[in-house]
Amino acid sequence: MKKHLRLIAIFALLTSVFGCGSQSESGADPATLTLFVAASLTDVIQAVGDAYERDSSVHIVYNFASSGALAQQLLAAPRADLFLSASERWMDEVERGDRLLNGSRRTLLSNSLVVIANNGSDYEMEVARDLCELSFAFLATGDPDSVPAGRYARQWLESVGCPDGQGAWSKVDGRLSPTPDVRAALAQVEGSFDVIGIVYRTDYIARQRDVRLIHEVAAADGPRIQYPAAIVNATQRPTMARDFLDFLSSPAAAALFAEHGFTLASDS
Amino acid sequence: METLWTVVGSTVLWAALSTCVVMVPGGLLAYVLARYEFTGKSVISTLVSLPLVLPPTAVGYLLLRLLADSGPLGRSTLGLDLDILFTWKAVVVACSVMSMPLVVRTARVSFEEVNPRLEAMARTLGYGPLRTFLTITLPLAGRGLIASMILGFTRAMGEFGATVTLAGNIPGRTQTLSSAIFSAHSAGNWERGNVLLVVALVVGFAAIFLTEWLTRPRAELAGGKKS
Repeated sequence: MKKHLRLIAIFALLTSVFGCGSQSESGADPATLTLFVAASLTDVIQAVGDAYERDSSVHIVYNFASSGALAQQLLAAPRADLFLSASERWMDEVERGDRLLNGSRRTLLSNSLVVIANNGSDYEMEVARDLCELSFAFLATGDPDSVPAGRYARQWLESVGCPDGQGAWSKVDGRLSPTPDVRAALAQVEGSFDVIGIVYRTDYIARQRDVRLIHEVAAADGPRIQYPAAIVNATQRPTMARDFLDFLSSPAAAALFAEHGFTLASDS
Repeated sequence: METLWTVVGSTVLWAALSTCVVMVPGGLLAYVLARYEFTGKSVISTLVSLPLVLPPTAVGYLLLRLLADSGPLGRSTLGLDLDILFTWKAVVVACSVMSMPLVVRTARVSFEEVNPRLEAMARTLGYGPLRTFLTITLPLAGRGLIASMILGFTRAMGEFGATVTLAGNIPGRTQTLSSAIFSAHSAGNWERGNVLLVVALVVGFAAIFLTEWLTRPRAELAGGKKS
């Protein structure tokens, strides 16, 4: 029994050391805004939020997860003031569940695709259809069946016509390396000379020292990749939420978004 | 880097709490499953193991539906708000459910390893059932129980899918080491991701090493093996 007592003592000690003081209870503070944010925006939204907090008395609390998980949470229990999604699809889902403040939804950011290669490789592309002739061993991108980036990549490649009349997607047949997310595709390119990859521009910007950009898909040629934002209708602070949403579209915020490779969507 | 230490401290605390939460009911259930035959036994045993089979995000999703505002344990059904979602309590709930199967399965085997004749002998010598359990069964199953505790604790330390679905990934409130690593990687911030990864490795190693060391075999128990 001595041993059990010892273990109980250890757990009791841990409990008292780390205490319950560190977790303050739910955001009852009137000046708190809770943001549910797609995980890919983790760093940039905190930079924008810090800028906003400096000029106001508002405190911002974030919840970072995949857009799908956030949408499920909002549908189950809407404990948020704003939702920033990385896909229109999940925002649609939340809207259908009647969780959004009418008229508050807007397209906030857009992203684009880039083709990247290993720093030590010599692949070059001038125009999109040069991809048809590249002698890469594998093209790494998100799994087109489940990962949005991969779906966008397939969409784009299907639209690129090769000199022999086929789409560039058919040239990738048998040479596709589908990954569970975009970061894994980037890691494969970083690790191998003869692998090229298609990732988001923002992922490339975050890792630009580690991989080489060989082609940027122009916004007009590629699929529309947009990040919608909206106010959650359960919010207790609609005015404050609207003010923050406006701030997200301001020039000050735009500069921070641009630093991370995002473009502010012009239509709203 | 005080936020780093908050994350580490909270993760260890929540994993420890969920281990405490799981050990008592999990241990009792394991004992019942090891010692008694009753109808529905295999159904219960299977149900408890389900979190091992399902993807963690699916377990998180089921728990989320259960505790949703309009769910069976939600505030509009119960008439009061348990205030679990998006708080540290949700982390403990998610970790407990995810570590339950490991705890119960390991504890069950360690109870089954105890020879029932030893318990029967204690009873013939006048020990009551509770005293027999506390002085004969529990000490003999002790090392297996501690192994189940370590398994439960480590599972809780590394839990991600169910936690992030039920409790979110709210820095300073429900963020764990695993979800902090996920955030850093999602944002392409590999420097922070790597720092957190090293911290997770060190903390994980220290936690397991400490428990291994505290529970190393000692002379008194080495001689106490069953016949």
